[in-house]
Amino acid sequence: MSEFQALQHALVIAAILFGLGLVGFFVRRNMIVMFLCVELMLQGVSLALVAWSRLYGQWDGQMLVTFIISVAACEAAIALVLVLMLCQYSGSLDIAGWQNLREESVRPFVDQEVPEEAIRADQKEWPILTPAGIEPKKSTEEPLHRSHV
Amino acid sequence: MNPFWLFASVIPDFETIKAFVWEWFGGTERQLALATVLTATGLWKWVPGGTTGRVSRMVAGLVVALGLGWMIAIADPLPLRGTTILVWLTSLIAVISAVLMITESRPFYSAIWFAMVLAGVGGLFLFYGAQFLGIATVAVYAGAIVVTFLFVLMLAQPHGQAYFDRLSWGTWPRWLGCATGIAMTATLLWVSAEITPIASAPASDLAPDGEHVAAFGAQLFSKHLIAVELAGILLTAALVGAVAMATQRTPGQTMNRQLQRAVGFSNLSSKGPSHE
Repeated sequence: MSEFQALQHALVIAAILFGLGLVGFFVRRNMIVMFLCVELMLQGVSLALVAWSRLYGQWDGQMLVTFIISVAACEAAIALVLVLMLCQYSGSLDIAGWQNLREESVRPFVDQEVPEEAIRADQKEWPILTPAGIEPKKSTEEPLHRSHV
Repeated sequence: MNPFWLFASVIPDFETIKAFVWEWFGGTERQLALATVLTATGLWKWVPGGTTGRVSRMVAGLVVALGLGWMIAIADPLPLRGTTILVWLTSLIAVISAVLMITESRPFYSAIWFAMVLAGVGGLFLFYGAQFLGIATVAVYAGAIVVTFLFVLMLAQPHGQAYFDRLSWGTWPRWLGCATGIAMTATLLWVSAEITPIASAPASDLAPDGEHVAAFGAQLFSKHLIAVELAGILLTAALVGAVAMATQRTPGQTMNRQLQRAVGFSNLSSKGPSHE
């Protein structure tokens, strides 16, 4: 393959990865998946930088990608903590739970329909095992009992 | 003569088909616009909230494959023969995994598909003479960042799938989202197709004597030394900040309840199935 064809191939793949990441960011509602889609866009940018670096035989593109990786690590650490705290406040990873931060004039987003099968899958009844052994003492001072971990 | 070659000689080769399509649909712009609409519509049906039927999902997948393939055929000059078959294979792994990642309604599987995208991109980095970055992408991204994502997903959503993972926004916002992203791709393709190489590009070797990493490190710690130090400071600050935020203790549950009441989560509690 000639150098220039290789560059254009990488640019095409990079553009597609970038666009798909953008689509995912717009379309998905799970905060963590939205964040993964942003990382996908970063991958597209990194690929383009590496391809240009190869065409010109210069190191700068690869250096930039190195710093992209390190900044992405910082970003992931901070953003995951933020997402976790948002999730603790609203009780769900749904980004629509924060729509009360919108402007006054904007109409609220209301889910049109929740499919029956989605609700049924969420409210799945788990089997109850027969108790065995000695029942442990429940702490009455612990107000926060979590039904699941 | 081998009958296979007799048969193969009847099939028009790729260039002939491409020229025919080119004639039929006019210029690059019109084709890119058509491919954009095709891909966006396919994605619109395929993403969570679009359709749940198996056959219609398959049709949507075919439409997306057709649209993306068309875009690639318009813009990509890399021939599909010889060693470039491996490059194509790696690229296809990346692109197909990316499509499956955004169309998968289960967030865990999304993260796993993202790890596959990283494997594909890391492979492409190897082909493009960035050995260190290829390994670093797989090790740092797929090995550390994606695993962290999975941990947080397990912490925040331990009950598996939620209803908002199977729904998206409304019908038209979803189509607009797909169309915007794919239009971005089409614009980038259109621009990248018009790049002409600068004739006197110095083709210096990025791996002198096969010592790629040594040259990489020499460059990193001489020309970019200050940036390395800054990146170290940034990583430390991010680490301290993450720990400080994560260990922040709110006074009991009351603080959370007050904040919930202040911001108001009526939408969540009324629409979603409760998990408590």
